[in-house]
Amino acid sequence: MDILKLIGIAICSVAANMAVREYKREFALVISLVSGAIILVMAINMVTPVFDSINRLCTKYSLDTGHISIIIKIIAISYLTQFASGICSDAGEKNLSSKVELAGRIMIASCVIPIAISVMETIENMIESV
Amino acid sequence: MTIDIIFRLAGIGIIVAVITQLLKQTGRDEIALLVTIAGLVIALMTAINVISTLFDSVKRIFTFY
Repeated sequence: MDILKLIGIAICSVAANMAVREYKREFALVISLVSGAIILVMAINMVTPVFDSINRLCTKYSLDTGHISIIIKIIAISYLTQFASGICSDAGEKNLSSKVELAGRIMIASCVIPIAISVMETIENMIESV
Repeated sequence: MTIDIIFRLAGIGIIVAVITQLLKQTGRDEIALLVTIAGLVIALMTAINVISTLFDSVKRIFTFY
């Protein structure tokens, strides 16, 4: 079970973090950064079968993969933004972490605009065809 | 790619802390500062390697569309 390995790594990194924290605070930050990155790498390798099945589903029913790719891009953006803002708030920089989250939201909003436009167009076509 | 990186970083941190205490006792504060900075640079190099693997795997997985 991969989840046990993940939990083990998290607990070990917290222990290592505690050991180093009162002597050198900057190393505690580096350790939390590295452990967060390791856990995310392990988590993201578990996502590939999900995306493969979505891909197969799309090609099988010939769905429009444009919207699906935007959704996946949004997932990637939120994934990394949450990682970065977590690191910043761990280091005590609440201000920086909220700035990173704001930038992430803006990027996600800029991704969503084309979907909204296409929805409006489809509605417009429906109304005209009536 | 698992726990050994974390424990290596913890080891670097503890060794740097011990060396700086030692140097501070003998009165060489500037060298203690240099040792701290050197240890931090080494730790950040390993951190950069781990983060580059993270970003590579994210790029590989999320951009095949």
